[in-house]
This record gives sequence, structure tokens and C-alpha cells, in this order.
Amino acid sequence: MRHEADPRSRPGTRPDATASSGPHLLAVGGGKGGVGKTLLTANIAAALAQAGRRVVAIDTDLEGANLHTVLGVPAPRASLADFVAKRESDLRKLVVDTPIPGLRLIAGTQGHLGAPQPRSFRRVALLSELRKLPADHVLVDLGAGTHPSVMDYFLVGQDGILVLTPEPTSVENAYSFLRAAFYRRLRLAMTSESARALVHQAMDQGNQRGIRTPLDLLREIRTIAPEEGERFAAAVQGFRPRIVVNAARTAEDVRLGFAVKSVCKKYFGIEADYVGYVNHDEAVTQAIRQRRPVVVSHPHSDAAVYLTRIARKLMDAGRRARGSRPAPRPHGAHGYARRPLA
Amino acid sequence: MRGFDEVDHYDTLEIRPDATADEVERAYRLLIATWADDSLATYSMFGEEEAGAMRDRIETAYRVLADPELRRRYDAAQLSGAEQDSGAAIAVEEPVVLAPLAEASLAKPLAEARREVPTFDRMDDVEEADDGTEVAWDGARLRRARLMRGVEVEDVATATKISPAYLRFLEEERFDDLPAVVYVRGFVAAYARYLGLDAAQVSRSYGARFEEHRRAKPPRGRLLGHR
Repeated sequence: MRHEADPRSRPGTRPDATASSGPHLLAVGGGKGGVGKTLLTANIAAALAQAGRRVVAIDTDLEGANLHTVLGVPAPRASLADFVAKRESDLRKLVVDTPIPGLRLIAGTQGHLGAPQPRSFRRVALLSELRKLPADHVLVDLGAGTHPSVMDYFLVGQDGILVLTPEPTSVENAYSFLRAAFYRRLRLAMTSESARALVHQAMDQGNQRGIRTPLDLLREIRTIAPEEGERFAAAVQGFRPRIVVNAARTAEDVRLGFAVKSVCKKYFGIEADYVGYVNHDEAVTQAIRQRRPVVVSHPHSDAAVYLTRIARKLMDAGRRARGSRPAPRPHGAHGYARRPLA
Repeated sequence: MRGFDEVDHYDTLEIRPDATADEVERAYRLLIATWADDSLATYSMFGEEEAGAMRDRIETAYRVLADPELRRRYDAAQLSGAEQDSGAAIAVEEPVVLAPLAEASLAKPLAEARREVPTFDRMDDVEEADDGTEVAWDGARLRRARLMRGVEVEDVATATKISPAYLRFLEEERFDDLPAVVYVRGFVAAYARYLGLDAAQVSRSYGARFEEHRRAKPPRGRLLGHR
């Protein structure tokens, strides 16, 4: 059935996922709360499911889980919290159905109020479990902030989506988020303790060594180890966040995505992709009240059209990424799960 | 300078070496807005001085690339690798800050590699139907195409000399408020051309839609084309 949805795929092959490479992982983050991360997650997941893909959406925001509500699932008993608390070690057993065919969910409900975030070793286990999920795409909804667990989920995906709204607070937090992800990724790419220590120092924006920018950091790393400098460059190159502007009302708001892309290029040296925007649309509010993704409840609304378009681009990107990759890498884009990091 | 791997004017404007004059213009306008004082996208990341330095760089790049003759000479100088040969007229950039980074990360010449990077910048590419058939253009699609380019109705009006009211009627498909089909086709063609779309196809598609409506519901007692 699914093959019919994609005429470009060769018969008998799944275009995006193979047994060895696991599902296409997309993480949706953005730093600030309320910018539409859950909205994006639910709708991209639903749009992909509508396109005939097998999708699992997972709510990692254990302190403020509501992905299940947006998808129209009454608070499920099984939740990611069971995995975090080690009541369940097989993530696949925590998947529940949603009213949308092809779309299933791991909810973030019933978290432990005292210790909602998994410890780092549990996170590594979780990240490798994500790759075993029986799906073409796994959408990971992130919580707000820049907690290390949030960054880990963001970096593990082949696609990290950065959601922002055209407001100073959101843009500022999006940059903090990006900075945190950027340095965490760099730190992982460094092999020597001294280079890692330098990255760690650079993360402290008031550091005494005068490292203020990624460029300063690169210079410092070069002086201690030139080969680490090359790893640095490779890590920078491989980091391609996808920007989405939510709640856009004017052409200027739409331009914000390009502007943020420019800052990414000129400050971090990274190539971000502006994959699209979602306009401010009353249909979105109505859809949330109906507890359904807007692409399902109001498929002809502007917001639904934009969201579907973003989903299609991400689907193509996932396909392209796999097509151009020389060999499947069972441990993610940068061998992440092998290396626990506090 | 914070530029990370800016090695030439094309990088500064974030365009490809084969960018058209139109793309140079658009990129420049977008960047100047991005790096303006109080710009939402930059104020929290860059101080006034840094943003100012970046604007200077953008201006320099634009001055060279927007002028066909200067651009030709700049390209030739880049190709021959003789950086200083172009003289003061081209305003050669300060020494490349991070060329080694670019070299370390890109085995091929940068220009060539850049061409291969998949990009989503052409946000209108999705307007092409996936199976290659022509898409139907309606008001909503026109509006989307406009917004995707970061263009306000007033910009279109200034450039095309079509009143903003008519442009809005086109987008909102208030067919009864629009003049005769011949004018509407002309408006749509001008609008589409301004957005860099296929003017003939868009006006044909929209015009057919408009005519269908007129056939179903002819306007009453009004001289077509005059208001």
C-alpha cells in the first residue's frame, strides 16, 4: 500500500527506512515554550501518515506532556515515563494507537514529578531504542529549555527542526538553543580531553580565555591540536538545523526564517535550511479545541497547507540524506548513541 | 570579523556563483533587512559594531556583484586566483578569515561544492506539482507565493503600478470587484512576473478560474473595467 503513495520508490524497497538504518528520526525543538513545537510535531507526523508513511510520534516533554491531547488520545497509561523509570525496557511496548491511521504515539504522561528527565545512561538506551521503532519516521517532540537531555534528543535525529515565532523572546531562546546544540555537538566530535575541555569553556559565555564565538574556539582548538580542528570543521558542516517560523502574520515574519539562516551562516558557520513557515491561522486554534491536528481537521486551511508542505520537504530531505549516504550508520548521524556523555 | 567561512562576495550574499542579477538583488535586500539595527534576527547575537561591519561587507559584495562589469572582473580574478590583480575598483575583501576551514572541510573547490548542497531556499519549488503537471493558480496560491518571497502587497503595487486594492481582490478572489478578464489576466501576469513566476502559465490558470466564475455569475449593470 505504502509503495503506491510514493511512485518514485523502487518496487519492493522502502524508500526511507531499511532494517539496518532504522527510521528517519526528526526532532522538533526551539528553546522557548509555547512556540508550537507540539503543534509542529503532531501535524508533521499526521501529514506524513496521510502520505502513507508509518509514523511514531514521541513526547519527551515529561513535565508538560500534551502531544497526546493534540492527537486526540486520552491520557494513555503507557508512557515514556515507564521507560525512564525502568518499568519497561522495550520502547515498542509503549506505543499506542491514535485516531489517525498510520500514526502511533508514545505519550509523555505520568512522569515522575521529582525526577522527570532520564539520567544520561538511560538516555543513551532510549536513543538506541528509538531506532528500533517499527516506523518510517519517528517524530520527537522536545520540551522547552536547553537541558542536556533535550539537546541529546535534538542531536540524535537526522533532522533537527528549530521552531520559532516572530517575537524577540522566541528568537533569543532559539539562539540559546542553537548555541547549546552546536557546542554539545562539537564537544562530542572532539576526541581529546583537552579539546573537549576547551569546548566546555567556550560554552561559558563569560569565559576567561576570551572565547566568544565559534571562530575563536576553532582558533584555540587549532593551537592545541590541528587534527581536532578538522573534526571541528566536519562537525560544523554536518550540523544542518531546519528552521520553521510559526505564527507568521506578515511578509516580514516570513523573512525571519531567512534572517535566522543568515545568522546561522555568519555566526556559527552552519548551513541551516529554512523549510517553511506556518501562518497565524484561526483554524489552528479550532483544531486544538477539537483535539485534532489541523491537517486532519481543516485540511484546506492555510496552516494545514503550509504544514503539509513542510512535512513533504522533510520527507524528501530524509530520502535524500539516505540516498547520498555511502553506508547505513546504525548509530545515527554521528555515532551518537555509542558515547554516553554526562 | 566573525564570518565563519566567508571566502568571497558570493558567500557574503549567501548566493551561488551562478546567481542571476535578480537573485543578487533579492539576496541583498534580504540581508540588509536582516542586518539592520534592531533587526529581530540579529540584535541578540551581534552588537551594533559587528552588525555594522557585516553591513559594510554586504554592501561591498553587492556593489561588485550587481555591476555586470565588476562582477565579470571579480569572477575572472577569483578563477585565476590572482586576488590582487583586480585592483581597487573591485574593492577586494580583506584576507579570507577562515579559508583553511573551508579547505579542510571541502575537498573540491568551494564553488563547485556549494552547487551540490541541497537547498530549500527556493521556497517556491513546492509550487510545482510533484508529478510535473501544471499547478492551478488561485488567489491563495498567489498570496502564498508572495509571502514566501517576503513581499508585501504594497511592494507589488509599487513595482507593477496595480492598485493594492486590486491586488488584494486578486488574492481574496473577490471576482465581482475586479474588472474585465482581459485586465485581470494582465494584472495576474504582472504580479506573477514580479514574483519571478511563469507569468503566462499563472495568468492562464488564474484567468480560466476567473472566467469560469464570470460565466456562472456575470456581473450586473456595470461597465466592465471601469469603476
